[in-house]
This record gives sequence, C-alpha cells and structure tokens, in this order.
Amino acid sequence: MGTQNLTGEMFAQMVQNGAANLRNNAQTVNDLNVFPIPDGDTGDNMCRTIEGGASVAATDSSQPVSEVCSKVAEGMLLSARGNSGVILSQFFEGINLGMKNVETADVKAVAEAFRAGVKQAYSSVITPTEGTILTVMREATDVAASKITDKSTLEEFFKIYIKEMYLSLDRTPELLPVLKEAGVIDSGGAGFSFIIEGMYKALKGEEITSDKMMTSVSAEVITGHFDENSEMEFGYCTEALVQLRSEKTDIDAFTVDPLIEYLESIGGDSIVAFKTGSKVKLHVHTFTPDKVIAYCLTFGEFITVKIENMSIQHSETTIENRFERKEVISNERKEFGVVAVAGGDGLKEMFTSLGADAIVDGQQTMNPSSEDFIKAFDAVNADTIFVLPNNSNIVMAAKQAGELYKDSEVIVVESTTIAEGYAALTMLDLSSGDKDVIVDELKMAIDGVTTGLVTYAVRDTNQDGFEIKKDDWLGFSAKTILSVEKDKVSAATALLDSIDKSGKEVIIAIAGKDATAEDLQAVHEYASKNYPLMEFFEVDGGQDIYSFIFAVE
Amino acid sequence: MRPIKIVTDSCSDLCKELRDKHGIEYVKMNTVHNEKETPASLDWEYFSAKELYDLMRNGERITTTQVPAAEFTEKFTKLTDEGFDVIYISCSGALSGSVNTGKIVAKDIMAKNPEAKIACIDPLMACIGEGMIAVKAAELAEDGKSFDEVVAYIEENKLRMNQFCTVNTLDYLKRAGRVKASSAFFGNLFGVKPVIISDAKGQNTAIKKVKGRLASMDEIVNLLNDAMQGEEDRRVFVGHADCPQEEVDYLANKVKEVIKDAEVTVGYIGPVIGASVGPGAVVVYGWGKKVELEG
Repeated sequence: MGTQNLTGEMFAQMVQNGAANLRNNAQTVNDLNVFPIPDGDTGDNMCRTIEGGASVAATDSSQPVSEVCSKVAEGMLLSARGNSGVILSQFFEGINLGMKNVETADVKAVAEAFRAGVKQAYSSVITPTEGTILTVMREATDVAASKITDKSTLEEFFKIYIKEMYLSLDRTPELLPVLKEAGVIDSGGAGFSFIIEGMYKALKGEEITSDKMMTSVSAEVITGHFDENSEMEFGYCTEALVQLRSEKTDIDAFTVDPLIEYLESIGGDSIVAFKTGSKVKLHVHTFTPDKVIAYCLTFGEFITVKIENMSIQHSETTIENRFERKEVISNERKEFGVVAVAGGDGLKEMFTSLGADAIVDGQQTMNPSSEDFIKAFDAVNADTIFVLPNNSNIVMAAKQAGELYKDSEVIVVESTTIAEGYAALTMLDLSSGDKDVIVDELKMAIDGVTTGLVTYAVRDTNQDGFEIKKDDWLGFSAKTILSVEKDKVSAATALLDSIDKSGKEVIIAIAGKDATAEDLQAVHEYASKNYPLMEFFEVDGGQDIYSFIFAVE
Repeated sequence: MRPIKIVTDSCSDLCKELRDKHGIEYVKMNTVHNEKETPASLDWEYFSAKELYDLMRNGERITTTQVPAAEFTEKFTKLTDEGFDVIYISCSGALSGSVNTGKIVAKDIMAKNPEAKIACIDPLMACIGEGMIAVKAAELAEDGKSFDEVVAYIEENKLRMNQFCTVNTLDYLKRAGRVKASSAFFGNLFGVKPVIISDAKGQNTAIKKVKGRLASMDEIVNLLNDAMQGEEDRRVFVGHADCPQEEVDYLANKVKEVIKDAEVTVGYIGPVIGASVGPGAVVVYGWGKKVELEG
C-alpha cells in the first residue's frame, strides 16, 4: 500500500519536513566547502530559502496542491539566498508551473512537475555547471520519472529518486575537479538531498522536528523584560503599511512630507516613511502610537500595523532594519540609484559614503535574500537601479530580485568581491545620464582590479601545490591559493608579492574584524617598502571571515 | 598710438624669463598664513616653493587675497604715466574678484587721465593658461596690433585655451572653494584622480575620474592632444605643484610622445594657485578647440 495522490496538505507537510531535515543538517552542508576556510554557507542559505516556502505552506494546507505549490514557490523566490538557494527556489517554481490547476497530483503528475522543476532550475543559470545540485536533481528526476508506472505509488517514486540522488551526489567529485581536489561532495547537492529525504519521510508519516532555530529574519528572541513596575523608557517601535484611499486623499498628489512633519511634531524619531504606488510604508519610534494610527486613518486604511515595546529588546532586527538609509527616505523618484551589498560597519559606511543609496546587509556567511533586495529597491526609488552584489554567491539572488521587481529597471553589475564593488563605486559617475555608459564604466573598473583575500584554514588539505594545516593563514586570489603562512600578516604580504602588479598603481587594504591596527600597520610598512611606486590606502572594513581584503588596481 | 603694456597677476604663474621676454608685468595677490599676509611673488622672493607646499603637507591652512586696490592703483598709474595703454589679463573672475577691483581702479584712472586706455579682461582661466593668454596678447602687440585689436582677439579666442589638471586629492580645492565637483567625487576615492578643466564660465570643474596617478597624467595629455587637433600653435605648458622630478619628467615626456610637434615648457605652479590646488597638482595647457562645457 502507498499514496496514490498527493494532496495540498501532504505537500505542505513534505516541504516543512524537508526544511526541518535540512535545518538539522545545515552545518554538515556548510562544512562541504571547497576551500578549507570558514566561509561555507550553502546549508544556511538553502535552509533559509526553503523555510521561506515552508512557513507559508503551513497556513494553507487544506488547499489544492497547485495552490500550496504556488505559495511555496512564491515564498522561496522571495527568501532565496546564495546560488544554491536560488537554484532550489527555481526548482520549486518549476514544480509550481508543472502543477498548475492540479487539485491532487498522481505519481505521473508529480514526476512531470519534478521534470519541470529541473528544467526551470537549469534555465535560471546562464552556464549550468555539472557536478552540482543541478546534476543531482536532474539525474534523480530522470531515473525516477522513467521507472514509474501508472500503478506506482509516491513512496516508490521517492524511493527510487533517493537512491539515484545519493549515487549522483557521490559522483559529483568526478564531474567537478575542484570537489575532487578538496575531497568533498557538492554542498548544494547535499542540501538538496536532505530536503528530498525529509519530504520522503513526511510521506511515510515520519515527522521531523528541529530544535535548532535558524537565525532567520523573522526569528525574534526576546531577551529583555517589561513588567508592572518597569519604567516606560523607550516608547514603541511602530511600523505600518497603509493603503492610500481615494475617498480620503488624492493618491497621485499625496506626499509623505506632511506625515513626516506630523511624526516629528509628536516627538517621533527614527522616522522612515515612503510612498510606493498607492501604499505608504512607515516606521517611527514614538510614545504615542495611537496618534500615529489616528493620523494615518485620515488618508488611508491599514494593511498591517506592528507596535512593539522597545524596552523589550529583540535580538534579531526586522527585515526593514536590515538595509540602511542615509536619511529619511523621500518619495522623490530619482533617475539612478545604487544598491550595494556589504557586511561590517566599516564597509557599509564606506559604500554609503561612496554614493550607494541603500546597503543590503550581507556577506559571505550571511547572504541576503531576494526579498532583502526588493526592500532596498523600494527604498531607493529610482528609474534605474544598479546593484553591486560584491560576492559571487549573491549575484544570482540579486538577479532574481531584479526580475521579480517591476517598478524599476534593475541592472546587476556583477561585482564578485568587496574589492570589485569598491573599485566600481569609486569610479561611479552618473553625470553622463546614460545607463549603458555608466554600466560600462563600472564594469571597466571591476576588470581593472585584482582581489586578494586572507583568512585561515579550517582543515588539513593539499591545494594549489600547498600543504595546508588547520589554522594556517591563507592568501588567495581568484579562487587560487597563493600563500600559506603561520600568521596573517605574513600570509598577507606573501599574497601581495604573488599578485601581478604590472600596470597597477593602488593597493587598498580593507581590514577585517580580527585584523588589529598593528597588523594593518605591518602590512602597510611592508607594502611601502617593497612597492614604493604604489599608493597604499587603509580601510577599517570590520568584515567577518577575511582578515584582509586587498583591492589591487 | 600709445604703446601697449600687458599686465597680469600672481595667478598667471609666468616665469621671469617669459615676463622679461615680453615685457609683461604683474600685480600681486597675497598669501595668508596665521593671519600674516605675504605678497605672492612668482619668483618666490619671500619663501621657497618647497616651504609653502611643505606647510600645506603638514596641514597648515594657507589662504589667499585678491589683488589689493592699492596695488592696481600704483601699477596702472605708473604705467599710464609712462605713456602705456594697459591690458590687464586677470585671474578667472569665477575664482578671484581681482578683475572687478581692477576695473574699478581702471575707471578711476582713466577719468583722471583721458588719454590712457586700460582694459581689464577676464580670461575665464587661471594659472599658466592665464599666463599663456597674457603672452599671446603681448605677441599681438609686438606684431603691431592696436589696443582694440588685441582686446578683441583675446575676447574672441580666450576660450580656446584648454586646461587639463589632475590632483592627488580634491581636498585642497574643495577647502578653498575653488572646484565644482558632482557627488561622484565625494567619499574616500582612494587612488582615484579627478581630471579638472577650466570650464566655459572660468570655473574649475572636475569632469572625470581616473584610477591611479600615472593613468591620470596619461589622461590629461590625451585630452589635451584631442583638444589641440588642428591647432597651429604647438606650445604646451606643463605646470606642477612641487611634484617629484620623476613625475614631472614622466608628464613632460608623455606630452612630447603623444602631442605632435609639441613645444614643451615646464614651470612651477606659483603660491596663489598652489594654495588652492595643493601640492601634487599637475596641469597641462595649450591652445586648441573652444571650451564649451559649463560645469
């Protein structure tokens, strides 16, 4: 006996189970890192991506399978992070497309939907690489779909699927030399396997619980307290999304300026208010949220309101706070805007000072989702938005967000490192008014920079002709290890020696969290002494993982 | 016909040799350091170039004053009394009020001495570009052109003087309030060098960014070469504000290499311009296409 038809409720449970199984194994997936450095984040990224789907599936489990698929796909598209996360979200988007108008799906329909998923996933990547998550989903789907008959149960389909999936996963190092050299299987494929495994267990009635909470944006951990004797010290963080109403105001003529003035007049601070289309988003810290609500009702009705006592600290910030603005957002539309991804206070400040209109918080181990980008696009409010993802693993999420976003033309300028993004932004010049010229100049700046990175090894390995011991310091550029030393300064200087500096005139050293002023000074002195013709600049970036990021240009 | 005397000011950065050759005189602005005013001598009579630029390198603030009215009165009176008609080529009116002061003084003197003619021309240009325009005026006078002809020629042609400058940092120019730069030039643009022209309104305007010092010097030479296409006058002036000799040589050689038949003269950027652009500025000037851009 087995399941002949997949219901919406069952699919929702499967997705949730898949998410829970991956959550329990996310660290294992993170550790499947080609580079022996502490920057693996595939597990976290995929986990946050599928949780974006699982969380919306939970509320709609009594609906037809097509409905649930649609919700799951939408949730995942918005929460997709990292390249594997984007591919995963596209796989579920394909399943959604394959399940259109289906009330309950038989095994054939499920197989076809999975095929559509594979097709969609492949089409989301410009040059698909074999030996990755793509190969694993394709091979498993092909074999399982070809082996089922009309009489097959879903359990049988998944059993074949999983067997082939693991065989395929084990073959990934044969297809992708970097995996073989590092002695690991593909991390994205592994993450995918945990999800499918979890889904199959749901089908068999095994519920997977996860006691580990991902530090996702929605997870708020209350660490403070407020009781009958507490002093009301900080007021309320008040956020609202207001639908402007034509019977109350002239929507086209409406501006947020009077609203901002009013919020200031009642003593509000940290005011953010902007209008997009016929909606107004506002954020204010106030002791009188009642006044805010009453005022908003004069021009619209609420879609959502959130009022939180700020005496109770929330350790996780909300999505709205994850991008930063230089000032109160005006609703004046600009011709051009720039969104840059950066993590670390110094780097965020640097990108802001260079002219980025919004910063999406993110770095190697904390990739932003498509939704994070969309929020930033809203805030920038420009006809054309240039995006600097500054990380090869964030490029796809930025592009996906750009495709989902309809209010602006979004151009992702593929900066794959912080150094490239920095170089691009220093050359930004909007005065031509021509987006093609601007993009060309940004790309030219990116082409002119060599990035060097310094971090430490998390395991023993042999790579690029170096024998690497755990905790050694590594310098690398363009995914090739160029120096292995016992301390970070030596790794940095040996790295700089190895980088081709012909035609280069400038070295910018961006110091990470764990690089001390003395470390930076030592590198500076070395560079001044050994490359006297080059200009050397220091930036306190405050980034994680990389003790130094060098831009040599 | 009264003989013509060309007068310029401390911003012209004309060396003694050229001034003597063409009988050009100049009125002095002042530099101000710790509230002490010093006449801005193009021959560095009161302090050396190195001393001035080192003060700036150490973060000392040097400001400047326009040409004092008394200086104009003395110079214009002396020359007109000697029988000269005077053409004053000033520093760009967008950067200094000297041209206006000069006009007021000139009006006064001409009222007292109806035979004398004094023209105060705003060349919409400063530094050696201003100097080159003054040299041109002197040459026209030497060729026997009349006062009105010289004035008309300079007015007609002054925007054909092209300036391409680059600096290590825009900070000095910004502090002196003597550059127009869009937001593209804000922030810590480590290693990025602006190219600054003198625009059609006589304002220093940053027009583009170049990464790296050598690349920026290449760029100003290329831009001047473009501007000088078809120009008969092949004189190119290279100015620098206390730059290392290797940089000056690099730039001068680049000019010879890129600009066909260039006749290169290298000079120091004097105290007044120096106080605005700061040490490390390099600039090239030449006659050529008319400057159209308004920043």
